[in-house]
Amino acid sequence: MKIQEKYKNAMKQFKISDSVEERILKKVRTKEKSYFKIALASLSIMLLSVISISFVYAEEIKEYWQNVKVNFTHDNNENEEVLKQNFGYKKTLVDDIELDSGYDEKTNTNHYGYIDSYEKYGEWISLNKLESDLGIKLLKYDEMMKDAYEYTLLSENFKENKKVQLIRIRNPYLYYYAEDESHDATCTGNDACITMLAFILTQNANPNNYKDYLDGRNLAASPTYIETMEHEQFGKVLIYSNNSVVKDITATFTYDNVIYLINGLNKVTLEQIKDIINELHY
Amino acid sequence: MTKDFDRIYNLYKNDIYHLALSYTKNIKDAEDIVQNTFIKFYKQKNSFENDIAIKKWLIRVSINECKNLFLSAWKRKTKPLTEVEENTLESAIAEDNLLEVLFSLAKKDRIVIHLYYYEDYSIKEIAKLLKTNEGTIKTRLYRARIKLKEILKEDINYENTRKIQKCNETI
Repeated sequence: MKIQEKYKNAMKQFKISDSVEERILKKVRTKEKSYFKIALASLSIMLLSVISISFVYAEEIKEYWQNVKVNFTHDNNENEEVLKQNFGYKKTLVDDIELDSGYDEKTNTNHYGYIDSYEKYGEWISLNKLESDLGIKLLKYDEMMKDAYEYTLLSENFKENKKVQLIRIRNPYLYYYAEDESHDATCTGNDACITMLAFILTQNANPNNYKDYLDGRNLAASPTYIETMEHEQFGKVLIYSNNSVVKDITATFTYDNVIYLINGLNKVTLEQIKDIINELHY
Repeated sequence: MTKDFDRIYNLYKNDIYHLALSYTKNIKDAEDIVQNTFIKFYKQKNSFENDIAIKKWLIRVSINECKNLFLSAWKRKTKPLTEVEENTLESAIAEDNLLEVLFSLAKKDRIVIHLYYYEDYSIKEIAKLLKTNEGTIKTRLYRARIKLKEILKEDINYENTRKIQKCNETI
């Protein structure tokens, strides 16, 4: 017999004792359990930390996500696009107001009828008071009436969401081409008039609203686009018609986190709208 | 993981034990080395190509464990095998000439012989496992073989003498 075979046969008689085998396997099982315990403990600590951080910085996290990325879905649900936008949902003093008390519900019968509106003030207020009430600053037109403003707190789907989503600020006396002196705030008849609307999206706003206003679809589903103007200060200004029963022309742009709509009715021309925009200043 | 460990353990436990035994010449030490080696295997994060690679890893680790054992202060203070009573290995060695010869070799030579004859590794593979050059392995193997031959020859001569004696007695 060769040395190799002899040696292997000789070694075969030596085997690990059962007690040692048991000890080795027990040690491995203990290690496995301890690894599991460590993993479980680490996971619990991580979870607790995440929950604590989320709890402590809840407001900051919410604000961050609202500012960084907003998902917009078109009404027709055909496309979904993500807009990284600068619009930071202007923080206003009405952000925390819930609309379920102290407000008289009114059904808005004007062309904003698809939005439930809840009017806080039924009276006109001055621009100064409005700016201080809401903590905002608005663009002004030359000597435009500084004491003729109203603002309305708007909330889409009011029954589901009782938080203010939009603040609509209206100055109906911005510019008048009245044929008679007895004009009123509603710009009825055939008078040529220009109204300025400012919309502030609050932190509770539905991003679709913002998208609609930017695209000029807040009044008509299919507006007729007339022109896109690149303004030195206000950037892109979209000019379009809402195809309403009276001749209308509207310009929209965003400046300093406020959406402005310059709405001209009847005999107002494109040039007059442009002149108004060029005159706007703080 | 546990299933994999059990399979590898059952596959190679005896090989590692025999290697440790041939190096340490002590049952308890060999068992400790097997235990340490397999605990290290359980803890390690390497990914192996196949079982052969695992075996080579186990052998490498067990050799290191053997070396560490002899380097430790505790081991240096303990008594050598021959002085330890009630060691089953001693009696087994005494009964087997080959084991007696092999276990009388120096540690360095013993491990080469074990890897060559028991594990069937080539000189090249042994050199790689022991992290030394092939020439050294060849020298150790040659030295060990000479001793083996001498002792085995003596053994054969002794057996022949006994046979002759027996024949004479019967005549």
